[in-house]
Amino acid sequence: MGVNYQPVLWSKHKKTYDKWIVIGMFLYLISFIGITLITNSETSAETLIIRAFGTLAIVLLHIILSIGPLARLNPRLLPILYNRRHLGVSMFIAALIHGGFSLFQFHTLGNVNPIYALFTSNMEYTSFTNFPFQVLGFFALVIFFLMAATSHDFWLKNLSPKTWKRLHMLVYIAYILVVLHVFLGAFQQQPSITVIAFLGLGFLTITALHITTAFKESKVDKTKATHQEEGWEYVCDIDEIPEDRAKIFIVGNERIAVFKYDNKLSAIANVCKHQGGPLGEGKVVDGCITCPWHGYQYLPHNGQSPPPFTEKVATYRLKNSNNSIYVLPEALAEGTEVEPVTF
Amino acid sequence: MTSGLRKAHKIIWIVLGLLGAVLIVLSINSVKQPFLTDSDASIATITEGVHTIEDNTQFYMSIEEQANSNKLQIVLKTPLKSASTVVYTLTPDHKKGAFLGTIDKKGLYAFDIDKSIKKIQLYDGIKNNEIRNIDLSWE
Repeated sequence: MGVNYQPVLWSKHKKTYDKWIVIGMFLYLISFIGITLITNSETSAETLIIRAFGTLAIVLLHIILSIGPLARLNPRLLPILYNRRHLGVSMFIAALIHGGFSLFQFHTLGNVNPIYALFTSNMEYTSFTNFPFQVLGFFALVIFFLMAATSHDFWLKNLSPKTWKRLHMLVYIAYILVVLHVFLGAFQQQPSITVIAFLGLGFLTITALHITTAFKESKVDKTKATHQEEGWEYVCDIDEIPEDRAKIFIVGNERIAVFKYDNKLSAIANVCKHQGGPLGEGKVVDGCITCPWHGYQYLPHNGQSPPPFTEKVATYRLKNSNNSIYVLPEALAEGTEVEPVTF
Repeated sequence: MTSGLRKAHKIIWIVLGLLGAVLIVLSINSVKQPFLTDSDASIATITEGVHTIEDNTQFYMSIEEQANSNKLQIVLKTPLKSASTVVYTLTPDHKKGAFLGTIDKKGLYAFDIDKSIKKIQLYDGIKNNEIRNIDLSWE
């Protein structure tokens, strides 16, 4: 395995976000513990810790899962997306404390291995009502661990962005496991309208956000060129693109970004090689197309990252016909040099 | 995201949305019934032939005399701290007798017991220790 990777550096903004994450988590824990002690003073310290960190992990998981679709619906929320990794690791720590204390309280004082006890203390695997809900939480925690452990650019580079993305999409399965962990566990032991209201509403909101965004994006993907000229597809007029910026178009079922800079036009694939960020929403900085998510850069005329970086994206041929821009839909191999169109 | 990933996300969330909704509804329906409130439990005490053994914030326990056996009713008002609570009868010399069943979630549990049984034991099956012994006599 190689070790050649370029980590995203901690900027001032990232540190500010991290500070707010810590403050938010601290305030939640203090509020939860305070309210519980006022309303149920007999609660034991172990139970309080298990519940406080369990609910904190669930709240954080809902925030994490809503960031992606919200940033799609409102680009002003994009900066929050950049810091999602740290929020994910924070959520894992909260879930680990919840799981660790639960394992300690319920399974460590017997004469069998606690993990073995977790899987065997309740064997009603064929029952829905009495299903061993702790097992669901355990598997969700394993997924969160894998995600937290690989939440670094070293793993993104060495696992390949495709494998890394697939691994991190397991969060959706973990989310369903967590929802069932609560509804078949805590909810069955203490049926509560509050649990149904909060978690049910959370599930509905997250699902609705993702499905709404997915349909919106599908609609964009179905956009067709208004006219063609011998295989070239018309995309827009030159003055429709702001200087040092791009417009995004659907060409051959994929999105491309056409950039205008220094009286030139170039087209590259819209997907950043780092984490799939939308290059067309970025701008040209110091002669390089700069991804709005983490600042990865590409040269407009060949889609290659400037040395020493090695990322490459596909390029497209453009032509200018009376200030109308046309693109040839076939993607060229990643990093292929294309003479920019001048005007 | 590529168009392939966008499609995958769309399918995943439609499936998760439907699956999650069905499982949540099933889990709400599966809450142990009847779910008694404290006021329901107090009504049960006035039934003829039913003798209250214990009534506190955690339990309501009663014995109903029947022709051939007694019916032990336990209403768990708040969850127990032990992860696995097993109910046993106790012999006159305070040894564990017959296994009656387990109690876990808040709700109503009923066990048929021999008329000669005078004590039961709540036992933590994981930690292997006695939680408490309960005297079933009501006179």
